[in-house]
Amino acid sequence: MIHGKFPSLLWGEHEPAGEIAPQAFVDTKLDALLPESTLKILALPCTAPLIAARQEVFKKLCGMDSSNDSFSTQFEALGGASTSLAQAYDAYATAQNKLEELLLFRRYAQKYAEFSRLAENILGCDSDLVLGFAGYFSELSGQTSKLEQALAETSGAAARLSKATLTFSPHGTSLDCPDATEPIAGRIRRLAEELGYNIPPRRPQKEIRTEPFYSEAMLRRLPDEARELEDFLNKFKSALDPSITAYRGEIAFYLTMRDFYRRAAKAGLPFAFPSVSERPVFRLRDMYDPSLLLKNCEIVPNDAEFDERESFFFLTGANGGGKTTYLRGVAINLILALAGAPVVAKSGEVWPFSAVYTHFPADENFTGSGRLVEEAARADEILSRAKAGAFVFMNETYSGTDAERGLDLTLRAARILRDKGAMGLYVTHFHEVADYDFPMLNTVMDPTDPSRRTYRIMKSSALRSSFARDILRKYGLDPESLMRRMEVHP
Amino acid sequence: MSVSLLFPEGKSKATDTSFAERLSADLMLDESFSYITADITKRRYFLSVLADVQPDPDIPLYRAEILSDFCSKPNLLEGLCIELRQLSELRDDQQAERSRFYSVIRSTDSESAFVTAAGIAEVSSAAARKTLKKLAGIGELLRIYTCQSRGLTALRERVAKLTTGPKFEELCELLGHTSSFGMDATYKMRAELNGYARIASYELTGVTRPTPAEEVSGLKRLFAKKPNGAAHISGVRVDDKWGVLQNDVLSGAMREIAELAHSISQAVFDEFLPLLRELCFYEVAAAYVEAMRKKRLPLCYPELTSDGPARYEELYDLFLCASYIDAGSVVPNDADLSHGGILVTGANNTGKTVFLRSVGTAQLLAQAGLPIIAKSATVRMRCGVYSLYAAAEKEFAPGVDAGRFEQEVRLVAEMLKSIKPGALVLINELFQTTSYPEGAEGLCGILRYLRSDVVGADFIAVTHLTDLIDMMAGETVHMRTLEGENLYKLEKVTRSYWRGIGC
Repeated sequence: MIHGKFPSLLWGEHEPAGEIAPQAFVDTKLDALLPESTLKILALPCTAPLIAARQEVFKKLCGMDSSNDSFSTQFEALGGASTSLAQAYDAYATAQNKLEELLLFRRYAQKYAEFSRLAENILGCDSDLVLGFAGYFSELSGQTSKLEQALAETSGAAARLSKATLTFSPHGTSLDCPDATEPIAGRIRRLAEELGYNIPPRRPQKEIRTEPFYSEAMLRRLPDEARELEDFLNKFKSALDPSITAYRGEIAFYLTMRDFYRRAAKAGLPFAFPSVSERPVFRLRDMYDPSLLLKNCEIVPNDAEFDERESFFFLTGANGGGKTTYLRGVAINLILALAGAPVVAKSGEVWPFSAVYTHFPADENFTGSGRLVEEAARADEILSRAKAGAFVFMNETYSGTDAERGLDLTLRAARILRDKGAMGLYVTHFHEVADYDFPMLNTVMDPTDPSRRTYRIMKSSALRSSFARDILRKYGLDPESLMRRMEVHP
Repeated sequence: MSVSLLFPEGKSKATDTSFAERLSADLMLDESFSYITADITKRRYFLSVLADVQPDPDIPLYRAEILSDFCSKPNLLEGLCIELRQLSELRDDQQAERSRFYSVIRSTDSESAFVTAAGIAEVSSAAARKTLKKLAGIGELLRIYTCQSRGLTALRERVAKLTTGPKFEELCELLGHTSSFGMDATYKMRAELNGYARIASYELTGVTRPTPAEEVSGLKRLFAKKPNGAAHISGVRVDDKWGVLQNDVLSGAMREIAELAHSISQAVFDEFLPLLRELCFYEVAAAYVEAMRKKRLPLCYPELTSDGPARYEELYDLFLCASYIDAGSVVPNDADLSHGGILVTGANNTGKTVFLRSVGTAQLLAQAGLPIIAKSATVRMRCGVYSLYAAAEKEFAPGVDAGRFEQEVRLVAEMLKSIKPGALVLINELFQTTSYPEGAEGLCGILRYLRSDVVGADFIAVTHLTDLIDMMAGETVHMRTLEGENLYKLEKVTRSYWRGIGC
């Protein structure tokens, strides 16, 4: 978040609605899809007006509104300028001698002016976030002009301070202004090229930092130029606020997310902006788990619907039927929606939840406490922290004990969360949960080939089958095979 | 930019050579040329050029001109080979020297980096100068002989452009100048800062060596007091010591000179050393011409056509001519191969395969720009030559998953994947590993497919599948080998004759 006088492009005047635990990004594999800096922003869910404001920005960036494609281009240029500005500031802040300080401050000022000019001219997005940002820099336009003028006036001095002739001799070392002598390597290159030898272009040389003696000698050799840049520094040092560099992270967030959606779109996935509901709901139509972009596999869409009437679901079904994928897809899309970003679905509706918790099985590397103890400890923390307005995703929690105890613990956890007013999705192999008062989701098998998974998830009661159909079919005794036999031999 | 002695400028085109090895083996080309050149490396390269069938008629003409120059000036060919071999040795020496130096650099501390970099710059500059002088020597050789061919003329002009004039002299002089630095010299450099106030460009602009009177060396230098020469230095004096920065910029500038000098040498090697391989082609070609002339065999450059007739007058088989001491006993054949589909039949050991080989060899030689062993000829340019020879049982390795017939079918299928219109297919006793009626039926379908608009290729098929003659009557020309007095001769068979003898 930007602290100081600059209006934030991410937050405007708003505050986060809550916080999402970092473990959620690990469990959903978002940490493999997006950089840490982006996850830090995704970890702070937005309020309803902020979701709407960010959606406006994303609509322009992701091409949902083709009326003004130039916004995306302008924003990208702004991103480049913010990166240059931050780099220039970092370089200036670590200057090691006076010459570096003078030249690098001037570079920082130049990048500051370039960013400010781009910022005030950014057009084509009606989001309060962008309007506030552009308006602020428009007000600074006069100061930016003064800075630009001073930069133009000092360009000659900076250029002269950047070139030197060094003479190394047994009598000592000296530094002077450059003369017109053509360098030896340059002459060799020129002659060889003019004769027609096919030689590669000049390669960049290793950058070398100027040592204090170099700085001192240069400033002594060109005292007028040094004074000119010193005056420039003194005049503008207090006027340039380094907190402006925080825009790099904010703009990078939008651009990183835009690239993420472009990648998803390239893989044929849809994305949509969920409407913001005033009642606690989370609905997705034809939703995808974007973490499957990490794999090269077929991605099947599914629907999700959580509301006040059916707020906490159990999901059961065949192994490998897509339960975890579904859970991850819902969780990722919820996190995206709460950040004001598009969901990877055809449409959606979201209420601004204040927290998202995930509980996934951990690796079997516990420190002697046993799996159940470890799982229960993590689950208890979620149960105690989750409250109304939270969304909890639990995946095979309490599977580390016997069926009876596991079922008890599972039901207990679900009831606590539901009673607290949290919404949730709980993947479990305890099919008996269907006997209780929770709505159920199940994996769908192919009706023509019951051994084949469709990766579809639908509302229904729990499957209690042991998949005996597979065995019948293997011997040609399943209903379809018997039906075909009858058709051939009526 | 660079000159090739095999291809006119801009005409080098890779062709499908996936069947080249098989073709070369079927036509016994390696055996034939082993009687002409013992050097297996040269022979292999020569055969690779031969098998790379180029459809552009200008390519054989281009090569024929060069071969003509080399045949009339054998010392030029030999001289060029010697000069280029020396250039190749120069490259090997330089590579070894650089490797030695760079292994030293890896174990050099930054204090002595300048000394090492200066050493590399000196060695690389001296090597580049030597390379340029060698190239100038090649230019001199090309100037001595008056060549008519486009290829050698272009080569002479190219080398002359690179190695004559005041710029070349200046370049050599500069490289001579950078071939010896010294610790006692005065180095003048231009340094330029980038946007991050880092020195990103540093180049040497001058080196002033001390006069002999000023020079101190060895132990004397170690203990010598710094001369008071401040009066000679302009600008601002700085710390009177060799710091890290001085060491870095000087060694960086030296390395740039070293890399530049090396890239000049490399440019020469890259451009001219491929010619050494190309000259192998002409060495073998010249040896072939000389060998056939010594055997008093007729050599002719055939007339090349794109779609006209294809005729040979007194065509000899290269293998027989090269391997027989008495080449006069080899029977030549006349043949009109203007028809695109030719069936060749005849008794065993009457010359069917030899005829097929002689036609295939002549086709390759002609398209490679070489004379063929014939009194006269008109050869149609092909965009590919393929051979489909029945494989002997022994050629099938144990464990191969298909029988002989299936292997032959696979071979045909492979060929059909790459064949282009206008190709020539040489078929020898194919599909005789199955029942003859079935083999004939199968082969007939393939031959018709070859001649169809889909493929548009020509073929000469030597076969014992006589059913083919009736099956393809009107679609092919039938030739047969004779026996008795006219053994090894071929004649065209008319339909009435064939019926007359009751077949």
